[in-house]
Amino acid sequence: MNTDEQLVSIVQQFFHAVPHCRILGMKPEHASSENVIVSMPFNEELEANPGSGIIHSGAITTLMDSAFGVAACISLPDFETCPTIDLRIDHLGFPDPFKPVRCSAEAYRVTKTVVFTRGVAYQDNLSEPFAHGVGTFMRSGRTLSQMAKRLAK
Amino acid sequence: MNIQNGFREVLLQARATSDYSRLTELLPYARKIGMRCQSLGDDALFVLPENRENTGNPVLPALHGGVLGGFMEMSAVIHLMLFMDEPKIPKIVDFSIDYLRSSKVQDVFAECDVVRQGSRIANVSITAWQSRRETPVATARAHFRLDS
Repeated sequence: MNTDEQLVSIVQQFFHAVPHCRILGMKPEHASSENVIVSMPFNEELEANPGSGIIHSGAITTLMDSAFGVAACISLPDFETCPTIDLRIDHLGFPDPFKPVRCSAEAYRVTKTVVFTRGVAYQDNLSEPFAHGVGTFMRSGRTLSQMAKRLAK
Repeated sequence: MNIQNGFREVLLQARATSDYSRLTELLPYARKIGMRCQSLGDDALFVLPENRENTGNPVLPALHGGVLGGFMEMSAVIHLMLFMDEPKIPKIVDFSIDYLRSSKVQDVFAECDVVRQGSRIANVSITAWQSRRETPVATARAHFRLDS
């Protein structure tokens, strides 16, 4: 059984290995068997309109897809990687400008082939989300450690 | 969010001339992922050129599904701005995407279809493909608010 610290470290390594997550500066703030919290800093390159300070919803989609995918992966015994089958995001409001954003994600049901996930995007307070999402992921049968070995070659 | 003057001018010019090349340069997120927009007859074709920075699975390698979603969302926004009667900035309400195939780290194309445009809400469907239009890598649907 992995400790929460070990899980955070595993997620960190995963984000470091995925170019687009690394470029957006995604970092796990928390990881446990219950949920994952991933943060993403404000970056003016992600703005919807120049100078608005508001991160474009497309970058929020990327954050939520990544956090949901990681939640699916670490919910499985051998950390299987899971490609997204589908994803739906409801934009309850806009994030506050010029501030980092977070996504809290959980895998709430695991079956033989599919993992069901859900979560929210928020800034300071988990109970005040600006987006809500659900995502379905497919179990690939390939583990994170296999992926890391192939990358190291 | 109002349309800033500089952007409004470019948008009006794009609508008048069907030259969409400058639009994506002015939108930071569009520029970040490297997407472009070109006219295709009376329609618009959106392109996300091959870019290693958009990789989501470095082993396969495959495009990041989130980037594909972001590209399709941004395509729908620009499509509405170009083809609505009044140029406005649509605000996203919800977005739903189905991933049909693994997308390679290669060019992606997208086309949008405004399924329904009411006075306050628009429903847009988006199809993205790589090698052939007939084998899409993802389909998506988005709702936008049109009130300002």
